[in-house]
Amino acid sequence: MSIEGVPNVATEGLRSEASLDSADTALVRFLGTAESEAMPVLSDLLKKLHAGLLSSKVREVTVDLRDLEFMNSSCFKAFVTWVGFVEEVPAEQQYTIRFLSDPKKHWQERSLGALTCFATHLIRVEN
Amino acid sequence: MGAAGAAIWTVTACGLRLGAHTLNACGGGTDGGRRLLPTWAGEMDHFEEDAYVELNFSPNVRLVGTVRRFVSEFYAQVIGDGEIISRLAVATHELLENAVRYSLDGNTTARVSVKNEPGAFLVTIDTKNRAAEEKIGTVRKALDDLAKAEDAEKYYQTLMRASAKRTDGSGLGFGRVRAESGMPVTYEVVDDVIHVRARARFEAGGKR
Repeated sequence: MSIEGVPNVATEGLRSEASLDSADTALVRFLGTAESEAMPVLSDLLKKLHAGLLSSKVREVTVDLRDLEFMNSSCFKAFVTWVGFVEEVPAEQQYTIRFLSDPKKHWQERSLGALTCFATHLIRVEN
Repeated sequence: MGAAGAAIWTVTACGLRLGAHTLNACGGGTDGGRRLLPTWAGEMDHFEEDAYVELNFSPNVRLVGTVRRFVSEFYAQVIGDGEIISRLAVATHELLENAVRYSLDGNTTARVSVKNEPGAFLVTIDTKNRAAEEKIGTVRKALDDLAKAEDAEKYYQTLMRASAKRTDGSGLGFGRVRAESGMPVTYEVVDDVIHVRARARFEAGGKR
């Protein structure tokens, strides 16, 4: 089931698919590469995702990055900003973010490690 | 230059085989009808390497990913360690993207080189481009602040906090190179040309 107000993205380099996979959990999958031309679309998507997750009262969202080949710092910033949005809402409305990463894509371990340090109470990373 | 955003490339390489193409020229290269940047002739321009690839190109941001994949193949040929290659791909991408954003005339020279040492690789990534005084000031401040930071990871977290409020770019690029790629970044300015260098020694097996 789709998340209200959250479109699937299909740019030249980046694709995403978002859905509710239970009453209080959601899944977002990213594929391709997240580079500068994708940044405005990604930024907009994450804003809408945040709003959609709050209105759906989701407790946890899984972000599957296993098919994301690369992410530049501009797109990484979009994720940092998103985590900041989650931190700003009252604790009882916050949801956790579970990243699925590919250990063969070494940048994911380092970037997601940095993001986890940014908000340890909200983020966890699994292979 | 042809259509807006068209890319003009010259590639100079030494000591490597890239895909189906063997590049044998060490030095030289044509200007593709464009004025190239000044030759590598500043204080930082002393090269001792076993393999390098140098690209003079008229870039746009979209081309940076293409260059990252191209030089990643170079790294794969001469280093072969996936962990190191990944670090270098991130560093190359971020430095090139900065160079593209700050370039005054659309020309950028990028050079990546590897020197083999016993059990290790000394890797250097250089970018050089002309930039407006204001942009040079921005790069100076970013790199001076980065150099002063004693803990690269903590400073990266500080940059991440600040980036969430920024509207003009992420401000994370150089910090990412330092923290995630493990490469200190230095720079030199000669007239209106800024030369940025990331360099680190990586042990074979992925450690820095």
